[in-house]
Amino acid sequence: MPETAQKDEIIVIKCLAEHVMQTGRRRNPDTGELIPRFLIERLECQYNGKVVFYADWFNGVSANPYLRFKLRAVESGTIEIIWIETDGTKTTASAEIEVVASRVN
Amino acid sequence: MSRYWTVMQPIHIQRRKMLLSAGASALALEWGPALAQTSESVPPNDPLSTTPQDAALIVNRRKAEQIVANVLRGRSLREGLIEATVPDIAEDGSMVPVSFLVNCSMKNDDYPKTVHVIGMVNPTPEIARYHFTPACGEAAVVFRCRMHASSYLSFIANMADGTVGMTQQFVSVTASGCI
Repeated sequence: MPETAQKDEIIVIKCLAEHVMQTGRRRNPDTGELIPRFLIERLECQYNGKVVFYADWFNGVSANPYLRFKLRAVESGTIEIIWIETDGTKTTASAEIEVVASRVN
Repeated sequence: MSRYWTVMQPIHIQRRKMLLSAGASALALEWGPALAQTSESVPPNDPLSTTPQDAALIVNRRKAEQIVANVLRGRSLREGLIEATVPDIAEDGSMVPVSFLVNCSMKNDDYPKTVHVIGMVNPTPEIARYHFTPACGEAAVVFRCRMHASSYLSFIANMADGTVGMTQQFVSVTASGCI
């Protein structure tokens, strides 16, 4: 994501998580046992502590899920991405954004 | 059943036949009843019969259609509300890059509360749900999904004002990604 933006500009946020996204349908090749389901079930985006976007993910999302979405830059502050796994583990990544007043010609 | 008539013959004829005949026929005598049973349970070899794999796809498609019906709840579709970009051919079903864009102002009630992405023959048809707020500025998402077989991907935008839009795009999948 960009470090600075003009007010009301629409910014693009890209995030990539490293995760196997086990679907619960694969089998261990040695023992033949099903590998339990283990996914990133939810991705949340908080802008200054307020949830502005979230995604529910199921089996159909690829391993190492990449996501690109957009936000409107309103005020300077922190944009935080939270990944929540099947067992409830939360992983976060955050970045600061500085919003400047839009240029007047 | 005429191939296995020797089973009914007296023992000495059976033995003579076994000595004279090739090994394969001796095997047929030993396993005759079992083979006859399995050959009856196998469906006839006609092109319209379904294999077990096809049957699984039909089950998945019914599940997916049920999910689509539950989301739409009989509402009429808004034309051109949602646009999706998918590849025509996906070499690897485990990583199909897809994107969608909802044409709306993102102000007041004119924003999508939820966008559903549904793979019409995936074992778990629902792939992802994206929830937007007016703070998003634009409802556009790019991500990668898994696909089980060549099929349609459905994108359904459920707007905050109660209207709904859907687009379906076909993707040819070379190698299944749902394993």
